[in-house]
Amino acid sequence: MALPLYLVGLSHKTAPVEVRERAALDPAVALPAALRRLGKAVVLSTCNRTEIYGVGAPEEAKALLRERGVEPRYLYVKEGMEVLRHLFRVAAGLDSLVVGEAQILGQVREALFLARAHKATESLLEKAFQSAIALGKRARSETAIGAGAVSVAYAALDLAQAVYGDLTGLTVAVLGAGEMAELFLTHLRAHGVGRVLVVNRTAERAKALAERLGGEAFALEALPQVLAEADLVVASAAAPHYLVRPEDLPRRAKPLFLIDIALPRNIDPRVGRLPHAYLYNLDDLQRVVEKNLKARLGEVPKVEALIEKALGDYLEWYAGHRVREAIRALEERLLREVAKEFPHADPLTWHKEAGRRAHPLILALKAQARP
Amino acid sequence: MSLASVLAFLGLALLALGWFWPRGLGLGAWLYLGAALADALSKGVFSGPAQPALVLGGLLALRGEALALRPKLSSLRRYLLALALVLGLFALKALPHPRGELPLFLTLFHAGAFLVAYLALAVGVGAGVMCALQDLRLRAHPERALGAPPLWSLRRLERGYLRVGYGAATLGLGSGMAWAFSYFGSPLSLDPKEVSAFLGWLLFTLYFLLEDRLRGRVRAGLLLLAYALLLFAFLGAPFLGSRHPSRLPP
Repeated sequence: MALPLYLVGLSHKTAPVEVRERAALDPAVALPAALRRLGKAVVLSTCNRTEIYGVGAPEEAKALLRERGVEPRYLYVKEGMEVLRHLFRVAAGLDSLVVGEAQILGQVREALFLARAHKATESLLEKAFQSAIALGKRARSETAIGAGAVSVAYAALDLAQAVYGDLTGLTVAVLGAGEMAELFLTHLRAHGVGRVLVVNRTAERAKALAERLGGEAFALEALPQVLAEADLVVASAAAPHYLVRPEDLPRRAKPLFLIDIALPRNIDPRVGRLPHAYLYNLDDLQRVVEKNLKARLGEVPKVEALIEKALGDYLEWYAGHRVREAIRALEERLLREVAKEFPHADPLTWHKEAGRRAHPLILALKAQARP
Repeated sequence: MSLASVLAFLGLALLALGWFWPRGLGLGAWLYLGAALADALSKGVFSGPAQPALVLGGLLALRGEALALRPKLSSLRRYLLALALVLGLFALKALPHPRGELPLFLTLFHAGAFLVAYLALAVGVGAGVMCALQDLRLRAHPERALGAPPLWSLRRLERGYLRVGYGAATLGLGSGMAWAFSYFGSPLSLDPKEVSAFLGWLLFTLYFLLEDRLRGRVRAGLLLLAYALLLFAFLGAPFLGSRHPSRLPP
C-alpha cells in the first residue's frame, strides 16, 4: 500500500513572483481558514513557495489554490514517497533559491506549529515534518551545505572577520548614506562594532543615518580625520571621482579594511597596495559568494545521502505504524501462550520469552506492510 | 635508563597523543618539565642541552594547550606541538650527555636568555609566517582567507613574541660572545653553533629593519630561515663536534 500523503504547491522554480504572491497564505487569516477547509494538512507558505501537505486526496488543496488565482500549469502535485523526498529536500535547503539557506528550516518548523495549533496534523504528517526538521538540522551540522556567506553583505562581514577576527569595539566609517551602506552597517552593528562615523555630502542624511544607528555624523571635509580613526570603511557615496586616495591615509600599525560598493568607485584602487590596507569591491565580494555557493553545491550529494537515510527511517516507522494493532495483538497472544507453557516462571521471564518469539514475526509483518 | 629519560619518553608519547587528544598536551608538557627537573637534580641546572630542550618543549606545549580555546588558531597550536615533539626527540638523544663545565653565571644567564628567546620566537615565527600567508590570501584570493586564522590576531601575537624573543636572543648571544672572548680570545669563531646562532640573529635584525616593506612569501621565508638557523644552533650543532664548552675536556 502506497504512503497516503499528497503535496500540492508552487515555488520559485515553477511560478513567477506575481503568482506566488497570489498563492501566499497569511498566517493570521487565510492560513487558519485553509487548514479548517483542508482537514488534516500542513501549509508551508513563504515568499518563495506555497505548499500544502496533506493525507488522502489532493483535490481540495488544488481547488483552494485555483480559487486564489493559481493556474494549474504553475502547480506541482506529488504523492507517496515523492512528497516525503520533496519535503526533506526543502527542509535541507536543497530546493531553496540559495542552496543551503537556513531560514527555510525555521519556516518548516513554523508550518508544523501552526498546523498543530489548529489541530490539523495527524500521525503521518507529524512524523514527516518532525523527520524533515531533524534532517534539516543534521544536514547543517554534518555537512557544509549552510557554510559560507552567500550574500555580498555577509561576504564583506566574513572578510572583515578574516582580517580582524573579533569586530567588537572597532570603529567603522561609512561614506555615503545609501541603503546598501545601511545594510552593511546593520550587519556590522550586530557583530559588535563600536563607534560608527557617517560621512556624507548631505549633512541631513548623514545625521539621519547616524541617529538611526547610534553613530556620529561628519561633513565630507572631515573625511581625513574620520579615516585616521576608522578600522573599517564602507564606501557607497555617489561621487564622480575618488574620495579616498593613498595619500589621504596616514601610516598605521593596525590594518584598515575597506569595502567599496559605490559605482563609480569611491576608493582609488592604489589604496589596496598600501601595506596595511585591505580593499575590496563588489566583484571581490561576488567572487567570495560564488566560491561559497560552489562549495555548497559540492555538499549536495552528502545531503542527498542523508535524505535517503531519513526516507528509509520513515518507511521503517511507517511499516510499524501500519501494523501496530496487529503487533500489539500478536504480543498479547504470545504472552498468554508463554504464561500457559511456563506457569511457574516469573512475569519478567514471560515477557522476555514472548518478545523473543514475537521478534521474527514482527519483522515479517513490517516487511509486508512496507510501501 | 635514567628517571629523566623515562619521564621524557612518556612526555613525548603523551604529546604525540595530544595531536588527537587535547589533554595529552598538558600531561606531556608537565612530564617534560618533570624530566628536566630530574636531570637538573642529578647533573646540575642547565648542565647539558637536554634540559633547556625539555623546558622549552614543555612550555611550548603548554602554550599550545592554551590555544585550544581558540579554534581559529588551531594551525598555530599544531605547529607548536610539532616543535615540542622535535625538542623531546632531541632531549632523548641528548639526555645521556655528561655534565658540562660552564661558569654558573653563564649557565643561568646565557641559557636562560636563550630559553626565553627560543620560546618567544617559536610562537612569534609561527604566528608571523601564518600572518604573512593570510596577508597574501587576503590580497590575491580573499575567498581562501575566510577559514584561516584572522590576520590581526596573528600580527599581535607575532609582534609581541618576536620582540621579546629578539631581545632575549640578543642578550643570550651577547653573553655567549663575551664568555667566548674570555675563554677562546675571540667572540666568534668558525664553530657551527656560534655561526648559525649569529646568522639567525642577523636575519632577525634584517627582518625588523625591513618589517614594513616585507610581504608574503619573502617575509615568511626570512622568518623561517632565521628561526631555523637559531634552532640548528640548539638542536643540530651539538652533534657536529662543536667547540661548545660542554664538549671541552675538563
